[in-house]
Amino acid sequence: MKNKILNDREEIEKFFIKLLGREIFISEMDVFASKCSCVGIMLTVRGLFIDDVEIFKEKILNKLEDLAKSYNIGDDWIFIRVLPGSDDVINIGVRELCDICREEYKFKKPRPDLISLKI
Amino acid sequence: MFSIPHPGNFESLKIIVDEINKLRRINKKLRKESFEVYMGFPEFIGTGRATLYKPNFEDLAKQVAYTKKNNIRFEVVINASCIGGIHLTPKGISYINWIFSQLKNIGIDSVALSDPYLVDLAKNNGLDVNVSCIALVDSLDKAMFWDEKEVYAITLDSSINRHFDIIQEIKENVTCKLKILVNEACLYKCPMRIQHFNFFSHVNAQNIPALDDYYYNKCINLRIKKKELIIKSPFIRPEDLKHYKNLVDIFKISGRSHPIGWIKRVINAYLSERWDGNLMELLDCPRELEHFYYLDNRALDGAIEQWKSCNKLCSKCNFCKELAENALKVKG
Ligand SMILES: [Zn+2]
Repeated sequence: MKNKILNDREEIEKFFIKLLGREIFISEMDVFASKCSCVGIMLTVRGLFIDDVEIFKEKILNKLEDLAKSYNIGDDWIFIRVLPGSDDVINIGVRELCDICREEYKFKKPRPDLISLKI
Repeated sequence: MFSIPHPGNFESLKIIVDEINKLRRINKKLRKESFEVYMGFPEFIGTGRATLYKPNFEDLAKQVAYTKKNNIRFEVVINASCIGGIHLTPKGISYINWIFSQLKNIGIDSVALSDPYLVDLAKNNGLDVNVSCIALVDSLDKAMFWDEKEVYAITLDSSINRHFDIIQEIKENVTCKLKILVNEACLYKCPMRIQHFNFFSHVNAQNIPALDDYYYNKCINLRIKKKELIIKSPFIRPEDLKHYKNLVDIFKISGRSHPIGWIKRVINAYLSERWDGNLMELLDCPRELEHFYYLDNRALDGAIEQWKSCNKLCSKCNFCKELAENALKVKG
């Protein structure tokens, strides 16, 4: 499992670099389980902007869906988190939602710094 | 009146206004009720909470027009607890004056402030002022200081939410409106309150790359160690609003940095004055604990009668501790 996460982090970084043709850093990839019973994957990213995600939305969604599937994690919610007041994307997440979180996050912008790509 | 948290973006505002209108339609009692929304406006002055969206004046003007059309007040929160002295420089004064004059032009109904000097500047610009809870108004003397500035409202320090005698005394001696935070669940008389607000004030306004929020983590740990601290938090349950109706004018719901789905749930509970289930799901700050604890709201029925007459000499009374044992369960 350790090696899979290591490889996947590297691979998704390469995917973004190839997609956008410039340096994108995925500084961290976390596979997590919450107390509420959500599970998911969280990528910490530098160098990516909201525009990039909008233009390549389909390709990015496909990639994230595959990634989630390989961990047996549902892709109920795919989202990005931006640095407040800017266009910089700082996190990309895939989350298999629990009932409470589904109610809270079922909006295009559940919170001003979160943008849902798929819900 | 109810004061509703607004995360700051137009999409969220529309969801909030829809929800208020829906509740007005289905609940006869709410038709006579008035509402305001409040949102953070960080700029360089900062605010006391994380602000996740920075609107420009044009965006703000559209939102204000939209709330007016729906007969809802609009308040902007600029309540940093520390501005680092910049407000008392000539440059700072003219910048703040400029911001206030813009807000006035846009038609903002009031600004929430915590610094007396900023209150004077805002009043000079023709703005109504709500004294923020960050001004920590917990006594008659403090309340009179602000009331003499002819402010629109004072938001009481939540540490006195269960000190009915103090609230009563303030009520009888000021002319402005009194606002009370209903679902903020910070520690009672939190020893870190000022430091935490100062931290937020600077981190918000200046994009400081802080490593971690020490105060938040400490706050969580304290409540894991001593769960009666959760009961002692000065929250007011939706069912208990009636005990405050003759004392305060505005019920302020806290939580502008949470997802809009959470805000909807909390508005529903407080406007209908009823919640069955885990009270933790309504409490702002710290939210993390709602996944650890189940606080049975029904088990708290009537506890307010004790709090109303309690003298807060906790070492001689085990009421909150015993209540925590009964009402608060660690989730499996
Ligand atoms: Zn969840």
